Amino acid sequence: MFSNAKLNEKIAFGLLKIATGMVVAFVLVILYYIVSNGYSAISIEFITEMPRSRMTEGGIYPAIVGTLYLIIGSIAVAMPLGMLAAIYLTEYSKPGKTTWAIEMAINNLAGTPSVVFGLFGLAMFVKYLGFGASILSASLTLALLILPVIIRASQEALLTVPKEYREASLALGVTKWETIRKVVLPSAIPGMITGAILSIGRVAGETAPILLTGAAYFLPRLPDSIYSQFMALPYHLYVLATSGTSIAQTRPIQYGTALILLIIVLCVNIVAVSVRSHYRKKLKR
Amino acid sequence: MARDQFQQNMETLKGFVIEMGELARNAIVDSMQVLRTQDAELAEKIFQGDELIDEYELKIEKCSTQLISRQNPTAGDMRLVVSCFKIAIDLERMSDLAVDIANVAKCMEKNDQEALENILKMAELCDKMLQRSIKAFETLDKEMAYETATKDDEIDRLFYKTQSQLIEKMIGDKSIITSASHLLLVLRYLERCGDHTCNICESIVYIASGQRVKLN
Amino acid sequence: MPETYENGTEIEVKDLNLWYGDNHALHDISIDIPKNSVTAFIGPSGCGKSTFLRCLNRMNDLIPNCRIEGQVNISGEDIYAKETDVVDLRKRVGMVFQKPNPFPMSIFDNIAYGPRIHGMSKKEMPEIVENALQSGALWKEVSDRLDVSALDLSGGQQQRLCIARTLAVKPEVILFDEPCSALDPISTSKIEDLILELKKDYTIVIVTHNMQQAARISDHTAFFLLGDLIEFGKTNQIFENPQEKETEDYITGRFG
Repeated sequence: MFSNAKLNEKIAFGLLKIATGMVVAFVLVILYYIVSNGYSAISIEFITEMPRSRMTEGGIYPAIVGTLYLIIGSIAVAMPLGMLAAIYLTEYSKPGKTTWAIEMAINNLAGTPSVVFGLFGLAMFVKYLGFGASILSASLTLALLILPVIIRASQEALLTVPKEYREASLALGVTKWETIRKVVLPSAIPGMITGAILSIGRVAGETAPILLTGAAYFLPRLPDSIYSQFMALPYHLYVLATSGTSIAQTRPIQYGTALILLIIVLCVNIVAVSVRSHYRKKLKR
Repeated sequence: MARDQFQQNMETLKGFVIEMGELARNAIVDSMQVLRTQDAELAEKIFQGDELIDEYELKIEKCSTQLISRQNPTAGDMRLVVSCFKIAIDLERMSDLAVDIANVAKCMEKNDQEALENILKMAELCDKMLQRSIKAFETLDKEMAYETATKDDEIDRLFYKTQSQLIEKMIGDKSIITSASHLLLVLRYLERCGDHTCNICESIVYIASGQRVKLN
Repeated sequence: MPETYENGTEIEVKDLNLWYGDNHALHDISIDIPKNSVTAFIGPSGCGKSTFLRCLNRMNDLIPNCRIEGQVNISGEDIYAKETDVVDLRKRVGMVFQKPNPFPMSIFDNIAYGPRIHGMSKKEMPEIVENALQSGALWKEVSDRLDVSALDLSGGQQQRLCIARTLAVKPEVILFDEPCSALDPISTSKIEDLILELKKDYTIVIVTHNMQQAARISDHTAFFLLGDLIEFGKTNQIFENPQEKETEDYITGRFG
């Protein structure tokens, strides 16, 4: 005999379990689909050689390198900028119209479609500042794209640093900036890195912004400076799957490329997570 | 070491009581000297000593109330604080009795020798009792307090004996009524001193064991 | 109110008023706090005692919309004067908080934090740390594990660490804001003994919601109620014979 409350509880739990199960199942299906179709394409040559025969043969080496450059470039720009902005907003700015406007702007930036960023990058970096279609333009554009995420995550991280730490430091006759540098930041860095981790997947996966700011359709060599054009995995994938001459023939390469993209994101995340846990451990010690 | 200051205050309080006890002893011993010699100067010293004892009583009262209001004494600490307060009252009364004895004694001319000897014996007993009870208080020795209180029986015995002797003598010789009735007063005062010492012993038993006993 | 003190006056407050926005939280507080002694602030929650304490090292500056009028002199210097350096003031007037708040660093680094920033050399550091921990009555317990995280200490030890950390900066005054409210009775008793030890070298002001604590350790007691200083006097007098009815009602537990 179940009372109504007990029955309801059973139903609610059941629904929650089903929902969770479905999410996990989708991920597994996608992973299985990509891995099972893509693993045959993976080989040493695939990740170390240039594409050949109009991209129907050979490797995807330049695209891998291009994507790594984008990740490094955009994080290197967005991380310090975002952190400093977050410090200003949480620690220094006084609540008021200006602060409110800045916060709103950040929120809107986070909701802006990525192709708009691409267009902005094209107008601002490629044309106006004259960086041309290049790694620099694309990285800056992607940096702008992930900036709101990094600012938000950094702000959250700063807000979770206990007020007591700040008070303790200030009460010792330490200036606000030293307090932030010596006490607040070390505690907030793991949270800030989390923001960066979330951004890495975004940078690695975006196509529209780089399409407009520097990614090459086909470029069988590595970029030689930050002003060079480059290949990138998601765009390469898009090209192979939509505008190539022999879409069916390159299908294994497409899946292989997708798989490599997944692996790269995973690897970079692992690095970031271990950096974060290093900082966390330092806090506990 | 926890609560150092509290501990220190308690020691101070105990110290006051012990010093006050010694002062009370001196007063009784001196009052007997006055009884023997009618030394007016010594009597004056007793009166001044009484003022000092009153000051001690006030000091102990202040110290105890302060400990109660500020340090929240409990258990053994509480028993000690409350008992010190009571002991101080007993000692102050004893000092007053010594003053009374000195007042009577300084103007006495001739004394009944037999009664005087008994009285001096009583006073000696009384002083010993007080000395022992101070010692018992210092060490919080319950057994010593019990034992000391039994000495009061001897004082009471001497009191009744001397009292009836003096009354008999007064019936026989009316000319000694004035001096003998003075001696009766002194006798009475000393007996009261013994009772106060018993009260002190009761307080000590209470501090040491928490038991409220009657030792009279 | 006592006019002169044995060791002189450390803190003089004249007609201090404080507002949080429109809320007038402290009304015309005037008080002289004696040097090298323990002064306790008592009163029910929300009476303004902690707020007032935080006026003494200008921690209220951190609160937006907080406005203060009046004069606070510490060692004869007006701490609300324009030319006063708040950072320097807080070096001279240390503070220990309600919840033990060690930094997430080693015991050594916690103590060395202040001295390092104030420019003490690395060579002096071990001595500074040892002295501070000795004065904080913690050295014996931690001398063999200075590199262990301060967060591994017990609550009472953490609070003594926070006291030692304050001592390392060599203040003149130490403000305690309910320092034992998160501690068990034994740790509390240790902190109380420490405070009594510290008053030889420092002027101590302590806010406590535990009246018995004020009675046990303070030389002077101030009673606050609804933002007013109701009564200030020797602790003996406040606890034996308060002059104001409100004080008596509060300390006898008949409040409200």
